This record gives sequence, C-alpha cells and structure tokens, in this order.
Amino acid sequence: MTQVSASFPAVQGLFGWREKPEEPSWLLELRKRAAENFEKRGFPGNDDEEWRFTPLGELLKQRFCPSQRKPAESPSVDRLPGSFGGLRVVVGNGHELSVPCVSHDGVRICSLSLALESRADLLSSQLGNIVLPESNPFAALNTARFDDAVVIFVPEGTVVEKPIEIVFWNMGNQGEEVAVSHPRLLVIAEPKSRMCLIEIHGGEAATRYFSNPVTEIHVGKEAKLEHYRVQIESASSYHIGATRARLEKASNYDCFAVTYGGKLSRVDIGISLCEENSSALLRGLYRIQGTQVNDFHTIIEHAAPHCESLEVVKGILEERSHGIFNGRIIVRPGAQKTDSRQTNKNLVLSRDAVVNTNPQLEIYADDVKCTHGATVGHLDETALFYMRSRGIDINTARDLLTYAFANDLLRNVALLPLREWLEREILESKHLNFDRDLVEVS
Amino acid sequence: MAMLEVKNLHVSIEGKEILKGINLVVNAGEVHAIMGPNGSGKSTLAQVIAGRDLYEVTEGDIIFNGKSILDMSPEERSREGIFLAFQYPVEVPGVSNIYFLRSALNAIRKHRGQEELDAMEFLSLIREKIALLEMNEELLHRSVNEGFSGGEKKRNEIFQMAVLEPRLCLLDETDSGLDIDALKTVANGVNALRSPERSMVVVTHYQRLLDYIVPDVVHVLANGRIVKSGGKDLALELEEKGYAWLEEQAAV
Repeated sequence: MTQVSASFPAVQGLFGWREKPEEPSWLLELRKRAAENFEKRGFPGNDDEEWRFTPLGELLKQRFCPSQRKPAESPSVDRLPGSFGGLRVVVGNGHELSVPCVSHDGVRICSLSLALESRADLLSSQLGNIVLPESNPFAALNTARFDDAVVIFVPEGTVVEKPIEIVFWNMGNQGEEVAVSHPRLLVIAEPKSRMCLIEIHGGEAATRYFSNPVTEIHVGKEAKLEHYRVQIESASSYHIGATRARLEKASNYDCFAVTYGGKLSRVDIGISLCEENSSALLRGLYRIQGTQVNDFHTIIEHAAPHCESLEVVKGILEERSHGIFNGRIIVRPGAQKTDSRQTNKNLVLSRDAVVNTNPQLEIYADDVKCTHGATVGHLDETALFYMRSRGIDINTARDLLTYAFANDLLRNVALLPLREWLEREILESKHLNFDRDLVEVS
Repeated sequence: MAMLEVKNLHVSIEGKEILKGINLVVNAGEVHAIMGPNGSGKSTLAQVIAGRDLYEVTEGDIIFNGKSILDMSPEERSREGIFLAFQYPVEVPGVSNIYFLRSALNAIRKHRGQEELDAMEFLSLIREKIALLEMNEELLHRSVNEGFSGGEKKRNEIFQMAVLEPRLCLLDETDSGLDIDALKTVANGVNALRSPERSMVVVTHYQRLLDYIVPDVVHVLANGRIVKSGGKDLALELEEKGYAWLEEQAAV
C-alpha cells in the first residue's frame, strides 16, 4: 500500500460520512454507500491504473480543515467579469447558494433541501445515479460529504434564452491548513428543452483549498444542453472534479471544459450516449505554467446505435508544467453505426514541460467508425521565422501562434463576453492588442 | 552607394558548407538576378540575408546600408527594410492575414518613427495595394496562407511586400508553381515597386521570370560560389546552354 493509504486514518474524521438526519432515507443510504466505498478503497495510489499519472502525493500530505460555512461573497471582479449576460448564482465554499431558489426564463435553480420538498422522486432517480460513488474515490467522498447541492431543473420544452451561470467560489484558507469543499451540481434537462450552462470553479487568490466537485447532468429526449466548465482556481489550490452527462434519445450535449488554474487539477469528464441518435461534442482546453499539473480524464460511452461524438482536447504547456490526457472511447455491444472521433493536441512551449497522452478505444460492435490521434509539438520554427521576417517581434510571434492554437477551439464559443474573457485569460499577454474584427478568420 | 554588400560570405548548415565565399554588391535602384542549378545555394543566400538562424555564418559579412546586419534578428532586419518573399510561404492557421499584416506594418512603422495606423487607415491602404495584385479581398480575412492555392500564396507574398514597402526585396523562386497569367500578375506587382530607392535580388532557376522582371545584373551561383556575372543577356545564354558548362568551371 502507498504511504497515502497508511496515513489515511488520520484524515478519516474529516473525510468520512457525515450524517444529516433531516435528509430522506434514500439520500442517507446513498451517502452511507459512498462513505463505505471510500473507506474501503481510500485514496488512489500509484498502483491504481486510472490514477497512475496523477501526482496526488503532495495533496494527500496536506493538513486539511473543513471549509467555512460562509455566505457566498462576490468573486473578485479582476478574475471574473460581472456576468456573461445571464443569471448568475454563486455558491460559497460548496455550501450555500447566494439565493436558495430562483426561477428564471422557466428554469428553476434550487438548493437541494428546497428541491427535495417538491421533486424528491425525480432527485432520487438522478442524484448519485449519473456519477456513481463507485466510479472514483473522490466522487465517493463528495457524495458522502457534500453539504448542499445546486439543482437545476429545466422543464419539458423550455427554451432558456440566457445562459445560466453557477459559480462555485472558494474563499479558502489563509493559514497552513487546506480547506476542503465538495461542490455538487445536478442538472435535469427535460425533453425538448434547451439551455446554456456556465459552470465556473474558482477561488480567492493566495488562499489554500481543495475543491472536490461533482456535476451530474441528465439530458432528456431531444433536449439540447450547452455546457461550459471553466476552472480558474487559485494558484495554490487543488481541484479534483468529476462530471458526467447521460444522454437520452436524439439529444445533444456540447461540453467545453477549460482549465487555467490550480496547482493540481484533474477532471474526469464522462458522457454516456444511452439512446440512439444522440450526439455529443466534447472540447477541452488547458493552459498551464510553473509547476502546474492538469489531468483531463475523459470517457465517452456509446451505449446505443446511431450516435456520434467528437472530442478535441488541446493543451498549452509552459515552464515545468505537466499535462495528462487520458481519453477512453467505449463502444458497447450493439452500438452499431457509431461515429466517434477523438483528437488530442499539445503545444509545449518549454523544454521542461511533460505531457502524457493516452487514447483508449474499446470497441465491442463491428459496424462503427472510430478515429483518434494525438500530437505533442512545439511552436513551428518556420512559422516563427516567417512572422519575424515581416517585422513581428519574437514574443508577439509566439503569442500569436499560441493564440492561434487555442483559438481553433475558442472561436466556437458563441457567447462573446465569455469568449473574450477566456481569450484574455489564456493569453495573459502584454504584446497583443486584439482588434477582434481583424483577428477573426472567416 | 551600395545598399547591400555581401563580403566573402561562408555559410554552413550542420557542419556542411553551402556558401563558399560569396561577394555581391547591389546598389540602390538595381535589380539583380541570382540564377543557378538546384542545390547551388541560391535560396540559402536569400534566407541568410533575411536572418534565418538555421544557417551559420562562418566567415564574411553582410552590410546593409553601411551597417553589418549579422547580429540583427530577423525582425530587426525586416524593420530596417529587408523583405524576403518566401519560396514556400508558410501557413499560419488561426491568424488572419489582415491581422498578421497589420501587426507587421505597425511594427515597421513604429521602428521608422511613424504613427501606427488605425483599423480604418489600414483598411484603405490594403484595399489600394490588393488591387495591384488582383487578389480576392476575401483572402484577407482567412488564416495566413491557409488553403491558398500556390498562385494565391505567391501573390500574397508580393502583396505583403507592397504594403510593407521594404528597401531591399529578396524574391526566392517567386516564379515556381505559377502559370503564365499568375506570373505576369506577380511580375507586374513587383515592377510597380521598382524605384531608385529600392533594390531587388531575384532568385530563380528559370529565365522565364526575367522576361517580366528585367534585371540589371545576372549572377550565376554554382556550388556555393558566384561563377559568372553579366547583363540580362546572360540569362538568355543560360536558358540556351543550361548550367553544366558553368558548374564544370566552378568545380575546378
């Protein structure tokens, strides 16, 4: 066993199951099951294939404390613009919502306790059933320990015009101890509904915390959900997240996961195409520097025939950063006429950065189209010389090429304020003064 | 006064000597053609003058307007007025042609102590220049050279040259891959830029381009040395006799 598991009993009091007697019995059962599963397995060690490349050692050596139950403060505006044009709900330290329940454009956003009063039946069939506690120890931990959850309910046929923004904001801890939060989000998009969800994870700069979020998404028949998941945690924080979407017949799910922050960040993103004619687009983009680690673990599961998925994950690595991509595509027996494509591209801007990329195709049907490809490269020297030979200085040339690498994904972000912010965050550049009309390629 | 002086230039790549003592003087307003067989070092010479760091200058010097440029970066050389039209223009996916060009122009203007152009001034300038090359304006908004045909790429090079208004134009095999109509258009674009203050060095394998861009001096490069220089008639002689007779001379 690893060193981590040996020291596990010391942290058990903090990470173990916390009973909340006011909760319904099915939820108590779920939490108990999750806690038992976690206690049995402990944190993953290096011998766990799924966690082999994720350097958890430093995280698990920390001394932890519970995050404070503080009302959500407004996130620092220098990191996050006021709003992207829709409704924003802020959740402080994974505890309470800034508003307990709000209806907007027909969509309802509630705390778990309020949602339980009205839709207990629906919740019991979804909560903990999309991201199973058994799927990963950190998800089990979240399930056992999450305080409140955000429940978003989009009724049948509802078209939500403006984006819904959920900001999980960590106030962290100024001291030595690392504050732990377990944000939880459940999205139920009923048949024929349409919505754009922006999920942001961040925290106060220079504070230490460990955020362990879980997001579950149900996309009903013929529903369409656009999901942005943006991680801008503080530079000294840890982020281990899991998100999974389950797609019903002829539904459409479009996910864009962006990671810029955190000392160590891992997200497990799962998409299950459960019924036929559903389609999924998964895009991922990260930019890391210093000694940052980012791990994108994705699973796209084709469980029904005539579904398609496209996955494009790009990483930009500077200095001594470490990027990991593990992309599994599973085509279940009977999922004929599957069309699944996966690409992972990494742009390495220093000699000391490390990339591990690992595509995994598991195909159990015979009439399918599956492709994958991975590249790790530096900035194109010839392109740099070309730009410099036109008078553009080397730093600007590098930034332009880096921008171009990311822009391939960012240009598809339809929501302009969100796109501009993501561009600014990715470049952090003093050299470029963008004039959007000119930069834009048609 | 000489605009460009190449003095006993020796250049190697990965220890292999490619240029073995080039001497060349180009005065302001002159057009020089550098001809020669494949592998003779023509393109290397053009790239070394533009500052490509793939190559190592082991001996000699390059003087531009009285100053050695060997220690200058490619961007400094460009700002001083040197322009290389690439044999294989580079595709830069995700960066629009127009943004690229505006960044370049403003960097050069700043160096010259001129005001940067704003978007409107810039657009009116490039509309004027694009007409010269008979280019489709739509290409401006596409990624640099991405998905351009061979001819469009070459026109784009000369278009950039027209916008940036360099003092020394190095044209590296600008004729390669062009049909006769495109060749005429490109040559017209180049000729429109000829002026007493501007020099050109035209690198080409074939005489064909020189029917349209008529040089003042023709040099023949073989095995890393200039083996013969002459007037524009030398190009015609080469067309007739080929390069073999000169290569034999060079080997001696």
